[in-house]
Amino acid sequence: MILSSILRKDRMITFSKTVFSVFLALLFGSLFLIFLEASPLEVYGVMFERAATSFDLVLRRAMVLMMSGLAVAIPMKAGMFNMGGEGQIVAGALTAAVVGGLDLPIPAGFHTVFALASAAIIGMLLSGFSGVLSIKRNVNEVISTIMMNSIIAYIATYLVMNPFRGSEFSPQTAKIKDGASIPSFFGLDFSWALVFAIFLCISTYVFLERTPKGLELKAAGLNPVFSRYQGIKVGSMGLLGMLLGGAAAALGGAFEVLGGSHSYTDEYFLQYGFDGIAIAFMAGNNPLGIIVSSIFMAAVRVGSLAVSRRTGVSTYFVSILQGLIIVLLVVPYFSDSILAVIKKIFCRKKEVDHV
Amino acid sequence: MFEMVLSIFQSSVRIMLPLLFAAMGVMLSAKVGFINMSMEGGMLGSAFVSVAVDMFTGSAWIGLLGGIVFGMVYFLLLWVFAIHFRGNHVVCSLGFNFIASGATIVLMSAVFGATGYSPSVEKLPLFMLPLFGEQSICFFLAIVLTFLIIWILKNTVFGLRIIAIGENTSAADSLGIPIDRYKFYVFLAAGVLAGFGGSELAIGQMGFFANNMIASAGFLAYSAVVFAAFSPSLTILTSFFLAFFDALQMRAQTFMSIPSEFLLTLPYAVTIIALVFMKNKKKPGMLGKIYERDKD
Repeated sequence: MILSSILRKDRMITFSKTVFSVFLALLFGSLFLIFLEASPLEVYGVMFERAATSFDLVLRRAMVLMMSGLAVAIPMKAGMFNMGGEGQIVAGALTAAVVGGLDLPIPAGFHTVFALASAAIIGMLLSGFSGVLSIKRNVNEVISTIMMNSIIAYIATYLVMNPFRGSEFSPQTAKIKDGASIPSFFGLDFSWALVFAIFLCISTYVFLERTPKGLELKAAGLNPVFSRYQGIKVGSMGLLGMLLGGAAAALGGAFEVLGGSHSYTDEYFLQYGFDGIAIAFMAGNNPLGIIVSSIFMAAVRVGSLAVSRRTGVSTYFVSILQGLIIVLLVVPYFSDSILAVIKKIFCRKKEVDHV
Repeated sequence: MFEMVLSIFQSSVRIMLPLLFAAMGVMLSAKVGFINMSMEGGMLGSAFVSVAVDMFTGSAWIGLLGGIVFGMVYFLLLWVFAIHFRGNHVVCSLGFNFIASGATIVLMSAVFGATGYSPSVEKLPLFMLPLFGEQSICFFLAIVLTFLIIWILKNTVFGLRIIAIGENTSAADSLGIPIDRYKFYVFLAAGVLAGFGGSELAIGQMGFFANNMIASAGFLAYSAVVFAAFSPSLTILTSFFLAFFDALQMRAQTFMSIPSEFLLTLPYAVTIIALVFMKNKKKPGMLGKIYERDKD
């Protein structure tokens, strides 16, 4: 029954529109590449070949991006735009690295849980701050989260350089204790945290689609005025969305630190938070769709590293693609009008056949 | 002491100029109901183009022109997506910012043959002024343009119609004002302002282009406008206020023992605090709403 609700007809139309928009973005991106005198076929070929050959790296990145996507999608369902994933991921990762590096007399598994919980709390505090400002004082949450991103980035740099510095040679924290790490997935380059991240996506879907609280949250985002008449506390639903989003982003950073890099390096998580915005839009804010779109975005990111090495096109080419995808997806009339033109061509053909 | 105050004042004015151009663009867009968070990308692109054109032609004036033309093209495209095709304002703006920040970095090596920083180029002419210190030609242009915009908004039919569109689009529509065309003019003006802002920073002050050199000035400009309660004349004061804290933290780095990272957060923290104490009541009625004429 859940499967049939996932594969509803309107969802399939949304899905095909998303694929179409991504295709258009790649097409516009290739115009840009031609301007750079690089062959689009070669660039995209290298990109996806590299992604396919090192798929475990893709999955490792997708784990963080999944959480980053949830950090945008859940608040968006509640009518809030969380641009602060970038900062919340950094805060969560740094917290996990510091807490994971403490000498605690507790069993191994509990240390991991403790590190994850403290990261999530920091993330919730940060996103909750912007949420409260937006609800109580009408401060646009897009602006306040962007400002918070800059503030957190500077403070994190300070903390890594000074009190928590664990290496003489590079700006990074000390290695976390073995008891706090998340074990690797059967010796591959990603950890069991990926399974947990997918589980979180699925449970977010169940929460939003199958529980009264989730329905209230969505209603508050869809039609605040009507929801208020229904007795739904629109403000607290928005805040709940922001809190869950901040926790998700911070957990994403913590997963990577505890399961992958085992320490926090300054500027390690650059662009991860902004990737989440494109991922959430591609998925239409559906948590299950996020699993797919985050793997796609991770593949593009991992592939772009090979592209910059082999063809000299900077990895920031991905930012252009993301911008194009976001703009094309959010402007329904644009892809609709192109689809309409295509439909017209097809219909005309049919008529000719009839005659 | 007096000399230090004077020098902080002068660098505040220098930092304020790009911010003021951007804030005027944001304010004009807000008057027609558009949430303009794309000044960031527009200024970044203009800064890039102005330096590139300056380098290839050897003339800072043509560079300035190039920056302005780019700003106009950028906002023209944004108009197509956000107004003509009725996209969500914030998301379209942010998408365009992504494209601009990605494109400038990708094009960096192709155009300048360098990564991170472009080579130095010729700067716009500088003037030594009493009280205001050394300022580029954009100082005068900013004064002229700001007061021109304020005058147009208050005293001309064109300006009053712009305000009417932002307050109540359907009423303005029923009076026969061509909504989309008026928004088009405003977007062009915002593009010119973004061009001035980006070029002033790149070839008026720095003399080179650096990756991500705008550093959230576009968002600070938006905050300045909200902080000024969408009043054109107050926007001048609030952008000076935000610029002042940036200048202050730069000076404080030299003589205070606070870590520089904490001082660098000052302009952003001040922005949040300023917005907290601002009641957002005077905003244009249709700000951020997508207008579609009733079909029947």
